[in-house]
Amino acid sequence: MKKGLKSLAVLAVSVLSLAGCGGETGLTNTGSAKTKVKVGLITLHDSNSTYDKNFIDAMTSVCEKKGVELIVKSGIAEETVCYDTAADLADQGCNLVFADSFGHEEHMIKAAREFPDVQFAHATGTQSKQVNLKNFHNAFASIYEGRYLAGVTAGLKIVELKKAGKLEAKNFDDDGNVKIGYVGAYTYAEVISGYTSYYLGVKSIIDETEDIPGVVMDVTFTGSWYDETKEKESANNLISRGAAVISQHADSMGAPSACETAGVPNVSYNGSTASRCPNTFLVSSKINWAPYYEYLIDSVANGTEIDTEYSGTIDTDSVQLTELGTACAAGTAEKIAEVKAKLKAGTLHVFDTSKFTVTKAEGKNTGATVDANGHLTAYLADIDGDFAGETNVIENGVFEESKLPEYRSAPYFDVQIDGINLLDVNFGD
Amino acid sequence: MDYIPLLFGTIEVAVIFLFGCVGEIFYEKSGHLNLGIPGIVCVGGAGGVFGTFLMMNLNPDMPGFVVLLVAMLMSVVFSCALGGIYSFLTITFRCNQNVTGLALSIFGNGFTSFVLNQFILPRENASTLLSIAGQKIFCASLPFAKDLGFFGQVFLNHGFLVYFGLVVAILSSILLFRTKIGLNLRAVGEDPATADAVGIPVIKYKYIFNFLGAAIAGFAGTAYIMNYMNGIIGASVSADLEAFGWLSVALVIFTLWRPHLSILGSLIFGFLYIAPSYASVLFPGVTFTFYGKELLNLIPYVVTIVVLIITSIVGKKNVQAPAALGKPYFREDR
Amino acid sequence: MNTKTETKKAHNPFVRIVKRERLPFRVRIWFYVIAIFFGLLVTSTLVILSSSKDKNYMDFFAAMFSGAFGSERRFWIFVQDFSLLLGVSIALLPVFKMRFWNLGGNGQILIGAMVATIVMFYWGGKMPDPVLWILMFILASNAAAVWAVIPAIFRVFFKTNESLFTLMLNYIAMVLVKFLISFWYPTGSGAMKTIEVGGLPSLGEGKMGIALMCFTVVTIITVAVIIHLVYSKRGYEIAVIGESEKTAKYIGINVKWRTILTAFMSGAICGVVGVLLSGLINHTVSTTMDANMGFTGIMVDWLSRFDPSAIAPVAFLITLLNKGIGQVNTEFGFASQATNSVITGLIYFFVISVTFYTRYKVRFRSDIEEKMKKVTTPITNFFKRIFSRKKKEEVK
Repeated sequence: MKKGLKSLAVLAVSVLSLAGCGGETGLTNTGSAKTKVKVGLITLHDSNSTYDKNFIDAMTSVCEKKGVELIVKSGIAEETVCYDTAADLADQGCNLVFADSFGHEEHMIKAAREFPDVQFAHATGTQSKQVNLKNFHNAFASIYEGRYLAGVTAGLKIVELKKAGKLEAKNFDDDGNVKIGYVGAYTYAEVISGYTSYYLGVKSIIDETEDIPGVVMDVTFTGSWYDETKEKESANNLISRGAAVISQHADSMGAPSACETAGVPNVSYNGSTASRCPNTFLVSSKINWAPYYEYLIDSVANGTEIDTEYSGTIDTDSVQLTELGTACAAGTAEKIAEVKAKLKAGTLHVFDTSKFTVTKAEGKNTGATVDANGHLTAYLADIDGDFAGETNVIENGVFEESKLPEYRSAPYFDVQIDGINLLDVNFGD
Repeated sequence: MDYIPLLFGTIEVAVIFLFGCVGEIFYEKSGHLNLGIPGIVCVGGAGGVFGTFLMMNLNPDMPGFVVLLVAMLMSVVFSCALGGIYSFLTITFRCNQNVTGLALSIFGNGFTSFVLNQFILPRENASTLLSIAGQKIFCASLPFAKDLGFFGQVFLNHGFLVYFGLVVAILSSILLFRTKIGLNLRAVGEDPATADAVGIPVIKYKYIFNFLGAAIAGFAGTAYIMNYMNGIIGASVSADLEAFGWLSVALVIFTLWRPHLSILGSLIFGFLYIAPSYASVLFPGVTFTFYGKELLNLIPYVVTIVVLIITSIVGKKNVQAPAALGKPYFREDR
Repeated sequence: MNTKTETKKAHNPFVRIVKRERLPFRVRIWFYVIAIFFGLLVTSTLVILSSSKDKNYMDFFAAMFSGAFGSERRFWIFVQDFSLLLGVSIALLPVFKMRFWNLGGNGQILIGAMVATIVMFYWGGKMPDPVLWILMFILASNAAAVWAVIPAIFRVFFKTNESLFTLMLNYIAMVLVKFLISFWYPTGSGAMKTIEVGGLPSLGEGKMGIALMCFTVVTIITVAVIIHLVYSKRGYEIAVIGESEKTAKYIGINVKWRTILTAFMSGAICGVVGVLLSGLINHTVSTTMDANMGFTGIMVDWLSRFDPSAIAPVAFLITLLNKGIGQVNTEFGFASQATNSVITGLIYFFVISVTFYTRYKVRFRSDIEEKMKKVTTPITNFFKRIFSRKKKEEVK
């Protein structure tokens, strides 16, 4: 019965594949000694989502530059359909398949096991070291550095606003610290790492300022990567509570529009909102996937091994800032360049444990070891992705985020540092 | 505690529901269940954007009321065009209303996304012009509103479309329940054969009020994009428009087919819909677990069900849908 | 037929619409074929014009088929998705026949998937798998059935509007799923990892096994439901209730009980689809797992005009359409899903429009019609002669 069904299927396929002879055309690589590369890209939503658009645009331009065929499959959910699609791309002759969303990982791994000759790469994933497959790789970038620089921009803007007397009483808390706000989506490391590095960037500027003692940040979570109404109302709430600057880690125009209406500066993510919010857009950080894609395609073409984990940096141009908005304070570009140089040179670290304090409490920061001054001396981060911390990532007084080859590319900073106030959600049980 | 943003936001969101709801009420009163309202809300929004862009592109300093007028006109044109397909198929062709409506919603969403992302937004300066129009024209409110304390900031600080929506709802209620035309329309929706026998031009009424319903529902889209989102348009906005459209259809039943009740219903639903974002205001000092906060999202739907149950237990015959809802009218059948 | 216009000489309209006698099936099918053909023609033209890639009509139609059947894997994916859609459509058929508008298919699927996931999560690996499977099916289908029965109870006793009730339950189901995922993974990204243990068995290897399992389960259910509807007394009761509740009560049918039971069955079958989605295919749960089948199933039911024998073909065609358009989207270089919706919507419009012609005839005013007959009669006679010649040959 099964054989009969199978042959029926084959018959149907062969009859109908005569119709399918139309096939796909595309530019081909004319290099002789190299393998012809065919790339498949799997995205969670489509080009209308700023998150996925980032990947699609980068891959499309790299493939065009390299003269390589590309198949884009958008709208692929984080379920078995991802495995189906990855396998289907492999069936179609793709020798490189890339997926862009966290939940795609295990399905890509399943496909990788089945197609050992096809390279599977995945963004934001955490399992490549654990599964140890020659053809499965994780990639991310040290976006926390980009967030830090964005924070510096925000800090400079706050200083400018204070000097111009544009800040009101509600923008400061009882201790005189200036307030800022952040709209996040989910309560996990990628988001926490993002907002903490942003906060530290702001803090680095505020700490150098004499008339503002410090900065505190309210963080609220929407529970969704895209929910325009929720993000807008959350931003409105933060603004009414006195946030002087708002940033976000979510996909819609909700928070930027709230800021533009209220005249509150906004730091965005994944794309510039300058054209829509000309009066309040400061800067946006984003990951530039082109360097990684070029690396992948070159490796496949030359038959060289691809690193299990890849973490792009400012050096590789994987971490970028968009053009500065017109609302930025004077001297921002110079200061950014200065800080960037220090980050590159290694004289400045984003997660320098001496620059922030941590409080331990019941269910809070359980993996942390703090000294008498509240600085971290050790922290057990969850590197293997099993939701329990096990690896100490503090080296020489620095929390080494996204560091390779020791740890992993996807963020694992989930420390709750002082100065960041979780507005309506706690991380405990 | 600062309740102003919560209450202000409630009204902004409620108006979007209100337009969609009143539009669908006209459809249902004429005997048509239009599950294509989500699609009409989408294209109405696209029309509003198109009209705004048209004017702003001609002259960025175009007087506000001209931009507003053209935007609303284009919103009506787009929504009536799509609504026209529905009306033609279901009235003249007597096709099934549910399927036609669902097809309309599917098409409307895709079409809006297409128009916005392929034709309007990529144009030079388009998003900036729309953003300026949104903030300066659509959200332009009474200049002294902000200084009038709590009342002023919550109620008087809205853009034109909000008050327009309120007026439309009130006028719709008057039309439906206090005029002869409204009486005739309700007759058409309850028992078209009898209405026809009494001399009411059934087909004409259906068409006219279908188009009126489409036009009003289309304003929901324009209100969302230009008023609520201040003309700042993301690429996936058609998904949000469709979501609002579906909730509006639900609200029709919730508010018992009465536009004046729709005002109240949209306010209640709008409040509960955005309340979780203001958890820190409503429950000061309380922090939820992440999954606990998720449960706050249940409230608008649970409250709707509770009100639904109460009205059906307590209510009398007049809480039911128009009797001929969903049935095509075929004169030769009687 | 109609004699009114003959008596009303003052109102002699230019054109009027007249109801047809029910056309034979083989004639009706041609209308639909032509409609689909024209729909595809129009949409393919639009797609070709707006695509950045240089492709032609052959590429379009090739892509449509290739998306559904272009490889063995795609074929089995097609079988799987067709089975799921058929399952939901057949679940909704009985309740729609009795005019109980269950718009909550999506929510019932999600509840079924959610409960199945809960069973796998807590008891997977802790008891023998077959026991787990039975538990999964029983608990999940009952939970989903409850999701449909609650609105039914309120409709039956208080005339509460079931459309709104079931619609709201959809949203509630989505929130509950999100709640569950973040309850289990408070520091997660909102997506849940697959559960390694306790998955349902498949009937073979890989995708074929999964597809065959879905197909078998759904076929059994479909056959059972169709037998129930067409041949059993209860099916007859459902039809009568759908025609007129008053008549049903008059002839002694227990309308309340029948409605609640049928709603139970409707929810339970959706729940089974949820179990297949969660326990067999995905081993997890998510808010998008229903893939909007609750509404597509409504389309299938209405397009087949509640005729049980038409449900499977219509579900087949709609699945083919979906898969084909997905492939067209990729091959013609559209990076957004908007074109999917536009093409799907347009083809639906064409098919819906043609249902008019299968049920009504357009008649023109008598004098105009006579003039038209002079032109059209020779043409129709020509075709008749061709077709009748064919019949003569078959008889021989």
